[in-house]
Amino acid sequence: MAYIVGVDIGGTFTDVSAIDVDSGVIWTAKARSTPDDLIEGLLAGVGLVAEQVGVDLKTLLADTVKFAHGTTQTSNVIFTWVGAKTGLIATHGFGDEILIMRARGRVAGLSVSDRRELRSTNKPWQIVPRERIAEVHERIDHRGRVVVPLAEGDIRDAARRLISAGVESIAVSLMWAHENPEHELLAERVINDVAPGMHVSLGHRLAGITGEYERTATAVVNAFVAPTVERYLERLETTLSERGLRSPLLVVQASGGVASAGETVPVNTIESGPAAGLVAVRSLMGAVGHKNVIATDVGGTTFKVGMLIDGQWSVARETVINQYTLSIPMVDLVSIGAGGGSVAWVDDSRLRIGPQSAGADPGPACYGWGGTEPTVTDADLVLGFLNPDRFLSGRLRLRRDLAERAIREHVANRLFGGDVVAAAAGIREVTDAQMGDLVRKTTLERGHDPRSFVLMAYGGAGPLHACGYARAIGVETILVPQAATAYSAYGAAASDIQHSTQRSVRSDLLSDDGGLAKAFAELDSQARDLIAKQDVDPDSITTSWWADMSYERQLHYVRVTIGRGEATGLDKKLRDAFEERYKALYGSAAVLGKAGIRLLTIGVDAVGAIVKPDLPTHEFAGKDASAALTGQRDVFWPEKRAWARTDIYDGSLLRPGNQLEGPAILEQPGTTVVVPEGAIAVVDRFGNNVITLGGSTTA
Amino acid sequence: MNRTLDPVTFEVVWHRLLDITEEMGIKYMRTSGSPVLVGAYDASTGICLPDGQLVAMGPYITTQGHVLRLIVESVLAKRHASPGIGPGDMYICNDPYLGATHQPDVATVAPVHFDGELQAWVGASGHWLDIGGPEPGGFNMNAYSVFDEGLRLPPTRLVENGEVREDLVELIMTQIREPLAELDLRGQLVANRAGCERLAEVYDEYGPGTVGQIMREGIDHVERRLRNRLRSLPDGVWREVQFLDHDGHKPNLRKIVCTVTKRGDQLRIDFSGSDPQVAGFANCTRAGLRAATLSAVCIMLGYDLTWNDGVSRCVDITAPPRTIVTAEYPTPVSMSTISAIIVTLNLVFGALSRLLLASPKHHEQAMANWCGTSIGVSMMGPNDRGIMTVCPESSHFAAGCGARTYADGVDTGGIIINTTANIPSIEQTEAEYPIMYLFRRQLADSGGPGKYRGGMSAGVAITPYDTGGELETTFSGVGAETPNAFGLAGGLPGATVRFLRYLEADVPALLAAGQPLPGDLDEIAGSPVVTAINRSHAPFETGSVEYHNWQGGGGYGDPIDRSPDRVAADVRAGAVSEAAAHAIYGVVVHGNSVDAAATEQRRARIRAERLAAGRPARDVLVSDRIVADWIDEAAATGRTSYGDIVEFDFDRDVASCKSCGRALGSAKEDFRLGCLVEMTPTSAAGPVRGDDYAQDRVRIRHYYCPQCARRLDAEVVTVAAPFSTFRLAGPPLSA
Repeated sequence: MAYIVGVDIGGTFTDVSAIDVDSGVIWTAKARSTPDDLIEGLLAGVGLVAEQVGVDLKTLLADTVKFAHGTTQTSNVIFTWVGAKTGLIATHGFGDEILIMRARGRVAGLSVSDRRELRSTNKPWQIVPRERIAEVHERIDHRGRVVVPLAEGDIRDAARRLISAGVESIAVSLMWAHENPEHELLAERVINDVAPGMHVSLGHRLAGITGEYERTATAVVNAFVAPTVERYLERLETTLSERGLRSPLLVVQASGGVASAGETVPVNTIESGPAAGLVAVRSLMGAVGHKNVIATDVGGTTFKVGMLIDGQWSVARETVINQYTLSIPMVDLVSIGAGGGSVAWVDDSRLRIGPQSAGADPGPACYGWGGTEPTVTDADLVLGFLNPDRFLSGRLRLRRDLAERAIREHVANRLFGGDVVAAAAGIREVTDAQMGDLVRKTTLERGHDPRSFVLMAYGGAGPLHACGYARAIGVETILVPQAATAYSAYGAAASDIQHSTQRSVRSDLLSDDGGLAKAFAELDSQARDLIAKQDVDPDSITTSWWADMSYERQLHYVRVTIGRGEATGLDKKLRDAFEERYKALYGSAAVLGKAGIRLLTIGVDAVGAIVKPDLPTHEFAGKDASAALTGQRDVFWPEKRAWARTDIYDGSLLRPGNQLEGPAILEQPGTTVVVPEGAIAVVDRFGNNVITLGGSTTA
Repeated sequence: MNRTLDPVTFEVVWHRLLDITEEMGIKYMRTSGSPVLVGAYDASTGICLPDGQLVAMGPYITTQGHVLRLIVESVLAKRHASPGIGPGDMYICNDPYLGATHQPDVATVAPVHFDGELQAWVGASGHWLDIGGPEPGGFNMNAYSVFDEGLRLPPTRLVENGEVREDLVELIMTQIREPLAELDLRGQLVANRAGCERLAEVYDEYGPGTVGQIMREGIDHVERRLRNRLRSLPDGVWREVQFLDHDGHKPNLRKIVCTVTKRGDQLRIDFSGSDPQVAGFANCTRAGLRAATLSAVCIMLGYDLTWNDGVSRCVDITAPPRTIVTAEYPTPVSMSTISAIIVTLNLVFGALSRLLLASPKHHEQAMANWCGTSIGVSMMGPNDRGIMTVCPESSHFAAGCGARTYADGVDTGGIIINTTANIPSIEQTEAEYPIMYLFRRQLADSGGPGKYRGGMSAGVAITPYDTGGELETTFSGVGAETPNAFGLAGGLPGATVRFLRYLEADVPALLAAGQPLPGDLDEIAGSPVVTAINRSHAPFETGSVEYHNWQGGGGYGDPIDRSPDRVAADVRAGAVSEAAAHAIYGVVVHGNSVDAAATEQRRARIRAERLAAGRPARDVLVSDRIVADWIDEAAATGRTSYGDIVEFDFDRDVASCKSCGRALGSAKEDFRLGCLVEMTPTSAAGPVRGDDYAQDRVRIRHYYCPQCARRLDAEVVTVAAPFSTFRLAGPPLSA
């Protein structure tokens, strides 16, 4: 036997998927996450899955050909500020850059409305306070020339000062080090010598980009999380191999790929769970045959939107984590605070939803855990979309009376003349519209029309609201994945080894075709080497070349991808690709015909294909879905402003080929799928629900 | 809400409209090129009603959003008949006498038609890198009229029925030395086009009638909310005075006087008493005055509202003609945004903070002034590739934020008018321009001292590097002689602006020898020359160093009430010097820790010195009681407090010190008349408080409780100017 195992450790649960490589059969298990020692929960989860497979843990691990793991460890460390006591070595004169944070640190990542409440804005907690910043005399200029050499004694003194201040980890980030790394490399050697075993993060190595603040912030955050994350991965690797795992431990990266534990840069694993979710989407949608997909994940507190264009997600090179701007390759996912727990409230004459959330504590009023404010979940319950007895597979009995009371007191009495149902319908409509707005904004901002996409909806509240927000943006087809494939753990199992190399370049490279080809070729072979190092067959490595470009002196850039380029004509290819992409994003009025085009950064994304699960397919069982019909109940459909007797199906009893017409509700173990009137839902051969809003019936 | 409009439709469409202004802003930023615009987000976008009323503004600079209404009004007034306003048109305008704040801030507005009718306008306004005229960047300190300043565009139809008039684009660009500015122009077209397309979709979906109704209701809603908030605040009169210390031609101390009267649900903001307009470019027009005043009201009272003309309905702005804040054509105004406008904003901000602090429910909303001015810094010359460059050095946008009533101000957190703070990265600047930075550092003691400290500002030192020819610098601004970031409730002002030039720094010799470069002020060789805050085309010689720092934020509360441990932490972090800790905070720090006994002694001594130096305010201050005909003084009953400073009991008609209970006087008169007053040099607030530029004209007036010596207020004054006023008509009107 050969298995692929994917693990995703989330805040509450550790999800594990095991897949039989030959048959494609998937087993999934959920264990409670164990924050004190995450490995415990992980082993428990893998053990549970082994039970389902019918083997013992040792056998499962011994037969595992790929073990991929998404960890929340890095995110935990940074979001709860519990990393190493970190010091920074910076160029003399520039030690404050990490504190000044380009002034943007006060508002980075905040919404427009949060930014307008100026009084409440603050810079984030200082990972390196001033007392742990040491400056060294050295200077490299913008062309990478050493202007002031770095004296070994100076760096030694700086390192000692930090060590005596009690640091456990050191970031070194010097001016223009990405153009000439020799000083940072010297610093690393000296620190290794002064303090063997001390973690050292170098700015140029983590982020080869122009911009001292972003490079330094990346190094500082990496130094902050690295000791914890590296210790954790080492221990996990040892634990798993002791228990029989023979294949290398692979770690999911924020970029959506995996890397071996040894090649993993800790900061690059921040928020890797959602990235793995998008990998799962691609795997699934690839099998179904859709290449342009909007993926929406709605949970209790966050609404995330990602996109696949021609089967690819895009990777942003800059991201904001806790108000620090980091330069790490990260799947381009947009996230807002909206979900089932969002609180509805009245603002004078307005019905507002969020941004406050009841979260998990006290939770929506209907949970009966003491929450008194009405939430989106309360509205869904009052309208009949949620079954009070089957929430979380019946583990939590929802209290309709409490939901009604919260909505009546806080919303209905003030805006809807006491009509609780009208108020609940309003809450649901506004929520759907605002989620639709985010999807619309996300796609339009990236130069795409949402109407040409298939929408995938997952997460607890995704399938419950997808018909609303899909309709708001003109999407016709919604796909709700079969439960087992909806998790990041499956995404981890389905991911490839991936590595990106990039460097800032001087703009004149664009007029030097030979130099350009050489630079790309170098990055290409670097990326391939890194992947080949991780036991990947060199023939299975593919690369894609990209460049960030702008008009002369423009500060924002546009990324163009050129596949794997030829040895000549690259310059023209890049220019054409840039103008085309620019036009698509901003329209022809924006194009500045006579302006020079500038090349900022070039990069290579390399993918080493490794063993991946094939989705099992099922025989069609015929259209008749009546075997899954469990009854009917009254549901208030906001778009019709009326109650309608609605068919209720047990989603787990539906079979491929089954077809049903809305209005209907499919109750599944982790979610509720809403099929509005006029829509048709079909179960495809993989077990996914495909909802066509207009009502055509192609399965 | 209007009876035919249901709250759900309103909410759905309103959210779409806000998203549209945001998308316009993002597209504008992505397509523009200028470091001022993109690096510092000096821009705004918005949607207006057919008559120009602002429905919503996008992110970024508040004042830029408030001009759109006036620009639309100018387009309507001047172009309605000819050439007319048709679908697909766009008009460009930057005339400060027709709605713009100053010439470099150019706005482009586009009518949105649907069903053959004008339904709305969208607009984008932003600071261009250059606008032609005698000075790169468009600030001309030698100007005597607008004819000496940059290109002025009356409403001009730049886009006709969807077609960009490339001849007009070329006409504009021909007047402008910096070709990159064309990206700024095209960015506005991109933003407006996106706005028009998105709005058309919304009209298509919901019908123009409903959408128009929602836009109007969105303005009404903000008006209602703001009026409710005003009703929950006490009535009263607050007068604030601040100074512009330079008119461009010469140091010229001019006052702006702002009197905020709050009665019921209306604000009256009056600028009577302000000095006459000056010959140089530091004035603003009524357009600028309006933008500044409304921005302050939005920030202080509308922080949780959409920023639109619902706010302006609650505010009557009055000002006599031909003052420094109501300059008349053709007075020069090109520096207005960083002089008269931002100082006006401080004044309104300060008065509204006092209003908020007089209502216990709103204490937390009050703040000390943020960095009180802004500056313009240009470094010009050919780079190593031979390209002529103009570097608008904008580090100064990392200014100190004002202290809060419960927390310190944010260090280097941005200027007040910009909701999306940002400064350029040093490396990106060095890559483009022929300069090298020696340091960019937070400035110790720049935050205004207080129980809660004002945020620190910073300073930068720059030297020519890899030049392709000779360099020049041009500086402009105000706030070098007089602090503008006032403290609140006894807090002291933050640092002033300072420009230093080091001619003997000899950087090339250091570079040739591979010697360490100076990384702080005291490491630069030679003695500095303090240079004028307004100075054009000064040579920037190879080897010399230009240094400047900007204003810090104001402090809140008496610094001797600050926890000694916090002061010690500030000393360790380099935010406060040991000298200031001792002199101003009364905290003795040894090494890393507080000497508690010595601190107690020092603070007792400070109190004793205050009581010895102070003279009764009534003896010192000329009575200048504002006649407030509208206050029904007899009706006032109940109590309120002004922060943790003063208690007002209207039943007994007594104002008293909250710290010791000492009665200061009638609850209905200025409590400060019952204080002891001391006049000191501005350096009492710390180093870099204008002393380098001192003409000995401005002082700090301190108000102490005559019993416990707590400082209850402090203001920056001249001997001649009217002092500020604090008069409460009664406690907050409703809970």
